[in-house]
Amino acid sequence: MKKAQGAQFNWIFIILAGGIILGFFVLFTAKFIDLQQQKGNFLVAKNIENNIQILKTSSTDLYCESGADESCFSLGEKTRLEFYCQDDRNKIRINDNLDHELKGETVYAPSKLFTKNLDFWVKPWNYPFHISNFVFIATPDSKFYIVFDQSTSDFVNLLDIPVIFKIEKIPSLKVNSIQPSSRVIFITASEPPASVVSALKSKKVISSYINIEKNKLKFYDEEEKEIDYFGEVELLGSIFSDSTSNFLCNQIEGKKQLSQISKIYQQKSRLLSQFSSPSCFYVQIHNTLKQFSENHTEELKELLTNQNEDLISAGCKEVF
Amino acid sequence: MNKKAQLEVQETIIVVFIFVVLLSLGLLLFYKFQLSSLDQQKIEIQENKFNMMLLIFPNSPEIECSSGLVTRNCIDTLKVLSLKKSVEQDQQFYFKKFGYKKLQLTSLYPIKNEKECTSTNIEDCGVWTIYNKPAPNQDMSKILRTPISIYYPQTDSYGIGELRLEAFAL
Repeated sequence: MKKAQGAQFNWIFIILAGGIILGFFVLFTAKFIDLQQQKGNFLVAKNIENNIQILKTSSTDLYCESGADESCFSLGEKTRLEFYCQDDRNKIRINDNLDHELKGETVYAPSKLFTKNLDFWVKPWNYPFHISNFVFIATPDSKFYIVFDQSTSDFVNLLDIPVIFKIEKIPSLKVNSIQPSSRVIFITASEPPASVVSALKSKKVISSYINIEKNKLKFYDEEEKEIDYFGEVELLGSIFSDSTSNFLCNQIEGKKQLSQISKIYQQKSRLLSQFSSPSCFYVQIHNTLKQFSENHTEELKELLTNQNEDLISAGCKEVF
Repeated sequence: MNKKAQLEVQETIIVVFIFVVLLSLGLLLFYKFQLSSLDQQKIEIQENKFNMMLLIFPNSPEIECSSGLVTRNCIDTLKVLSLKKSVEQDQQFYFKKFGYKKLQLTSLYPIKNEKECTSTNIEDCGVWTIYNKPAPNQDMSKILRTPISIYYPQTDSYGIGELRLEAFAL
């Protein structure tokens, strides 16, 4: 009996010890795979960060097409990217595993991407002075439809978007011909009918409406919130973005930058007034800049441009 | 089972046990090493970003020379002074932007003194400490320097300066 019990204990011991050893190896393998994935994701984050930084050094329009230029932007392998907003901060989640903050960057991109290559476009935002460089991102297979009507056809046709992006400008929309997962942007006098919007939603097509008369836009997502936009570059940003939250996140970042640059020019105008002749009146532009740092309206923007030009034509040093 | 056979079994168990322990330790060390290389990668990203700052910062709208929408490759000294003032007023915004760093511009030609520039001594100074936020308990820092063209809007003249970027915590 004792001998049989001993053998039983032996087997229990073997199973327990074997289980622990096997468990250890399984755990190690899982941890190791996770670590390797994280390392790969770090490389992707480094790659994206570097590319954005390099492209942002440009003071003019710059774009690169991943398919045409291999050195442009390849992630190496198909990667899941998620651009999202957290506490008004732009973040990117790589392969559902690594969160990376895009500090101070204004990046307009679709919320979710699964791609190997990215197409990039960097455009300076001047409102009315240079404020920041906006980065627009899309995948090589992203398709954009811009719907216009008679009142907006000139505006839409003059929209200067690099040919690397698949943009189709159409006077009317046939929902059946729209490819799934594409983007539809209505730049028309009035909002599209609700039936069209819901038909697009059912095809998983994200749509938005831009009113160029009122400088307002709306994404047809859960929020459906009417948002003011500042200048054509932000309008372009709404084409590449696909949700209210992502657009607003970038807009907040842009507005903060706009306020700070306005304050810098406000200070500069005060300093210039110390050194210029009494015939140069910097008081007006100083006051307008003060207002503009809090209230970024199109009227104040125009006023600033005029006041700056007036200073130049009076033989004074320009503020911006 | 005789005693000799029992001893052999025990010996084998001990050998297997020691082997497993050693192997586990080896794997743990390997994992730790891989983990530290991940931290190294994080530092590399920060270092790369800092190196890129030498290219980006002189071209940033806060300090670049501009006339209308045309920008030039130089630093506007009045904008630098204005930025200094903005940094004092909104430290949180600029800390988020620059972090633990010191950004300084020094005039090299025409040679000026080493006085810190403020709005009251613009004509008689040669150093602009744009931003200075040292990291607490951090002695090590990485310094980058580049010669740069500087512009004085009040006299419409140019000079040569040195832009010095110092990162306290990478």
